[in-house]
Amino acid sequence: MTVIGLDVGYSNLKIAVGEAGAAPQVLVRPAGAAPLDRLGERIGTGLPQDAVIVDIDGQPWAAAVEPARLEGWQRSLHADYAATPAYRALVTAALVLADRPVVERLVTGLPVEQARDPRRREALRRTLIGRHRTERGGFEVGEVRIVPQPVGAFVDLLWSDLDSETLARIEEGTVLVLDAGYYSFDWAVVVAGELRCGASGTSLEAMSVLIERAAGLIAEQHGGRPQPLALEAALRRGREHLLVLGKRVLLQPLLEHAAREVGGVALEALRQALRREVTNVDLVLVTGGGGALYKRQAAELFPGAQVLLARDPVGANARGFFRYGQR
Amino acid sequence: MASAESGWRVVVRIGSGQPELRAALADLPSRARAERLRQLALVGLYSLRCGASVTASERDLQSPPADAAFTARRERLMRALTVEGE
Repeated sequence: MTVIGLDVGYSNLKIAVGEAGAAPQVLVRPAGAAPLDRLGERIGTGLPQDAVIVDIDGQPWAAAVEPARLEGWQRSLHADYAATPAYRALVTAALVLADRPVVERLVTGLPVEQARDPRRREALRRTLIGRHRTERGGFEVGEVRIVPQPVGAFVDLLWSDLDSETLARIEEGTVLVLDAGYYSFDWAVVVAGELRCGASGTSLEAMSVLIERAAGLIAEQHGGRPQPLALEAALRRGREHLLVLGKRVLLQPLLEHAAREVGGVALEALRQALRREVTNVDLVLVTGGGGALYKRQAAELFPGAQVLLARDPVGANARGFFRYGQR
Repeated sequence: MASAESGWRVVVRIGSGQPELRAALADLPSRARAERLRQLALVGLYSLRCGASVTASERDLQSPPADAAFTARRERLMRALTVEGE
């Protein structure tokens, strides 16, 4: 049985694909998607070599490209992302990249607040299920499961190289999963292995806000205009510097500064939400593209809890969705 | 005149379609990248010849040891994780 764990983020498209019972292949691509005529041409090539070209409502779209390469195109950054043509283009691109004509089961996530809404789940299921036609042939998706986003990272933790004490904390205690995504900062509470939806939630003080703030700090300190897209691209590539008006600016101190401000707001919303539901947190799992920036603050907020950063925070949800789908 | 040892010159574009390779080369000075790329290609070729690439891609590097008790505990947790309306 072919299973895909699909995490269509605002910044990255993450795909874990493989046969149930085996380890998945994990693919990570930038999550830019727009009509093809918005894609800047690479000098000397004449072709958008690394874009996946898909058909959306009869129009060619370029998907899985750096958002910074899209000219005159405003990316969707709102709660209805999963209903946009860009999202559909990324789903189709994911199926092309996974390259399996028949997918028996596809598992994906929604922000915690949206995953509670049956209408949103059903709308997304209709987008994903069935036949997807592309220039590379048809791709059939048989069954779709939709879970709250942080469930992916939790399942991925179960499949990581756990020591006995950590496994015992998961079995007996309270686990808090923090997913610092680009659009939303989600948390989920798992008590003795059971997901507690009432104590789980979402804040929009997420990476997009943090990156905007860090880009603003760079402009204040070094001049020029804020360049959040350039900063995002630098982070995706693991760069330590950003070129600003000819100078190399070290990113980490600026990101940490922005994280203290933005992360503080998100974690306060989390603390308020947990106040009535949860007495003690025994283990905190931090994941998502911005996970590393939130880890220290999470440790301060939950003294005594074991705080873990997912080994590969960007791909953790997709891997976990894949494992969830092989049940 | 080119000598017998001059070899081939291959211009390779490494775009965002190969993020892992880009990351592996990004921090190197540009002159060192070609040598690193040759080393990585040799490792890949060796893996293909020895059949190691198949094993490496299929093996889950994160998977815990195949311990029956551990697996049973994990399966219990997976079963308990029921998501409403999934």
